[in-house]
Amino acid sequence: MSIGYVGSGKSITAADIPALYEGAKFYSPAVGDASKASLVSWLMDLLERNGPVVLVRPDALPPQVHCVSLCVIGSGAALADLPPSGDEFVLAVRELEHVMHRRFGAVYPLAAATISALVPLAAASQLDVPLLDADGMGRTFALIHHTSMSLAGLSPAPLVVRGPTGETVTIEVRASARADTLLRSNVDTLGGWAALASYPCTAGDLRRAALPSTVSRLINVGRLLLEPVGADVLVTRLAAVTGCQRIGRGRIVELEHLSRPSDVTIPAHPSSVVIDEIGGQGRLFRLELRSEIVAVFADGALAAAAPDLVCLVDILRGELATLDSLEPGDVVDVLVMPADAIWYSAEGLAMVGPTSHGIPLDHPRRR
Amino acid sequence: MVANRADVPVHVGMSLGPDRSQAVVVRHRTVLGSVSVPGSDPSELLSGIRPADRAQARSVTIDISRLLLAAVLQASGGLSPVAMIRVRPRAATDLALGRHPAEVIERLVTRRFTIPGGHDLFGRELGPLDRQALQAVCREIERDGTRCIAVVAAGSQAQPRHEREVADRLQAVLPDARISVAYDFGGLGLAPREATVALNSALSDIAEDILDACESAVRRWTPGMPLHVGRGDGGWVTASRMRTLPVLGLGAADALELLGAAALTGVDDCRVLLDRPSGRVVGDVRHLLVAVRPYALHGLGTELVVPTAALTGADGVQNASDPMAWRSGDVPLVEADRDPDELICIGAAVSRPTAWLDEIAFIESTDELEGIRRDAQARATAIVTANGANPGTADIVEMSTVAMPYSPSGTVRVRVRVAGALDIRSRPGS
Repeated sequence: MSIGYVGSGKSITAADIPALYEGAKFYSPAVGDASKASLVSWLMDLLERNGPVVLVRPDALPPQVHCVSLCVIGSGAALADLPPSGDEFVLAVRELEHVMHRRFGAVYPLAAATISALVPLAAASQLDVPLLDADGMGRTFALIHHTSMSLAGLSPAPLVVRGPTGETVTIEVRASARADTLLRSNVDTLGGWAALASYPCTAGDLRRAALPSTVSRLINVGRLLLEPVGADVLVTRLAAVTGCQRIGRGRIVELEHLSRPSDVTIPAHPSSVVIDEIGGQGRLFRLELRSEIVAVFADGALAAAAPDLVCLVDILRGELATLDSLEPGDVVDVLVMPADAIWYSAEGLAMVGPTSHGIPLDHPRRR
Repeated sequence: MVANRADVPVHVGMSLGPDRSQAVVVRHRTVLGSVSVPGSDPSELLSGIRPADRAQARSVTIDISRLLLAAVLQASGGLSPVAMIRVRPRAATDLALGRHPAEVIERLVTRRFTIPGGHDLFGRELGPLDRQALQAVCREIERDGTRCIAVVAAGSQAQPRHEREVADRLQAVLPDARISVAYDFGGLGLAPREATVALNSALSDIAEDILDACESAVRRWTPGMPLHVGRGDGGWVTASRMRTLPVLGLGAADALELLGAAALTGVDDCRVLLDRPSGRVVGDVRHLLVAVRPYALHGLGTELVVPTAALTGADGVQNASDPMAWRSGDVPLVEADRDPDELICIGAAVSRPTAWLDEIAFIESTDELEGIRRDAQARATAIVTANGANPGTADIVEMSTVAMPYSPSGTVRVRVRVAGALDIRSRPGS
């Protein structure tokens, strides 16, 4: 398999799906592969039946084209156990079209990472519309108003969630931050996850508000991850393509729960992973988790923090170690990668930086 | 005090293959004797063991995974056709989501049904079980005569009520049916849960034939000799347990080969390099137990929720003296350079009874977490005792609880692995 870089793609074919899946996991290495087989098989089948999906940047569409974001809201574990019936994402879009009396001409991922990067592709195939090579996070954040669109003043509402139970909830809300709160209890009742259609806007809006090329890059990174190489080669290649850096390598020695005060408005309770560095300076790393890794302390000093993307590579297996399957004894590399520059602005850091996770320290990149 | 050599127990490990089978006699990691025969007749194999070794043997542990795998992978492997029943709120609207993604499973499943019902991961009902639909499914299966039935209900790991009701109703209508339910295996993900339960159902007839032959052979060889059957996680269960859960046997050869290689070196913690036709692979052994994962079984073409050896490509690991290998794993590297079948048998002879739990729980405090952990440990200990461990010998060898990302605050995944003692096995008649 070639690992050459493919610039911004013009379409996504069935053959791209395995790489897209792996790349999407890299940008949100939280949830394991329990739903992989179902989703990859479904997407490949759709694209083989319906043909490739056109991938375009927002500025390649007429500015008045109406666009809508899609994602999976809720628990990846719930989705793995209760996979989509197949019509949830399309029907969420159709319901939002009905509410707004308009037709959407393109879809885009709310977060181009994890399974939320895959489902807009499925919907684009089913609706026969282009998929935008852009998203609102460039990774995943836990709340739906933590987006570049919110920073640009766009509202997530009106929005529609459609659950695997076949039920639909429409929410109209003025304050963006209220949308997530209103959604969560509905999502729990719908089975733990739901298809979310939100941020209805135009391609013109997204030219200034969305993060560009965040879908096509997943396929490039995914191709690296599919190469059967050892962990050292993999990390070197990832660094060349994504700008990530290895902070250290060590053995997981402790998993702790409720290790910080809990704020129930954010999914997943605070937990911590303690890693004993092998070689190097023999440091003790403490990783603070909240759905993603939100901070890394090295011997007590803050070494990295959200919005940095922090991921772990399992040394034995030469692949990403997802947060839902860590075990004491695993040997991992700790990788850190900068997020999009927008997240290091004062407004971005206030929204998703360390203080938003109850860690009242300056971000290491702002010192 | 030095133990008398005669006090150190002797165990027999066997591996049955479609073309060739082998047995070894092991005393504390030392091979006393080895027998190899063409074919897969356990009687012929046991008859080749020296009378002196036979007199000292305390148990026989048999790997049947190569026979099971061959049956699964051969299109005409003689496996029973399976009727698959999903219990979930709605049937799939897309063809690809209505079937299993793996060809190997689709080949086995001749009928598919969806019965509305199911629960979420916390056991909350998503909709009532549709009993009219259940009756219709019972009638349909009764009409077409399928005897092997697999049932997987959404959320049955947390609340198996719907799954059990479906299984009970089917059993009442079809008393001779072999019904496998996903609740027996735990784990996450519809596709791996469905693959696990479908294979369990399909393997039940062939596993029974193999185990009948093994039990009969061991009984004739030495009446009263305990018989154990290797698991995919490198442990063992009793033959009666394997009859009802034969899918647990898949992958045992890989795990036992790792274990056998580690046992011969005398180190309890190491990485082991194995040769495979497709290239070298590497796996970990910790505390003389194989490092395992769910979804890890290679060569089957589908993922299972039951744990098997975590093997990965050995690219970059040059040889046992490679300093990179030492640095990355922080443990010695062992090259498995003996006959793989012999290593499997050695692994079987030194293996221990094991059990595994993988489930979702909800906590609101660290005290509650401790309660959840204690409860999981107690249940895993009960399971390993049911699997054949002597009561009071079980150790918690691995335990992890991780917060489930993007799930409601307080959701944890609990995984427990328990192993019984190796050497506290009764001698026949004692």
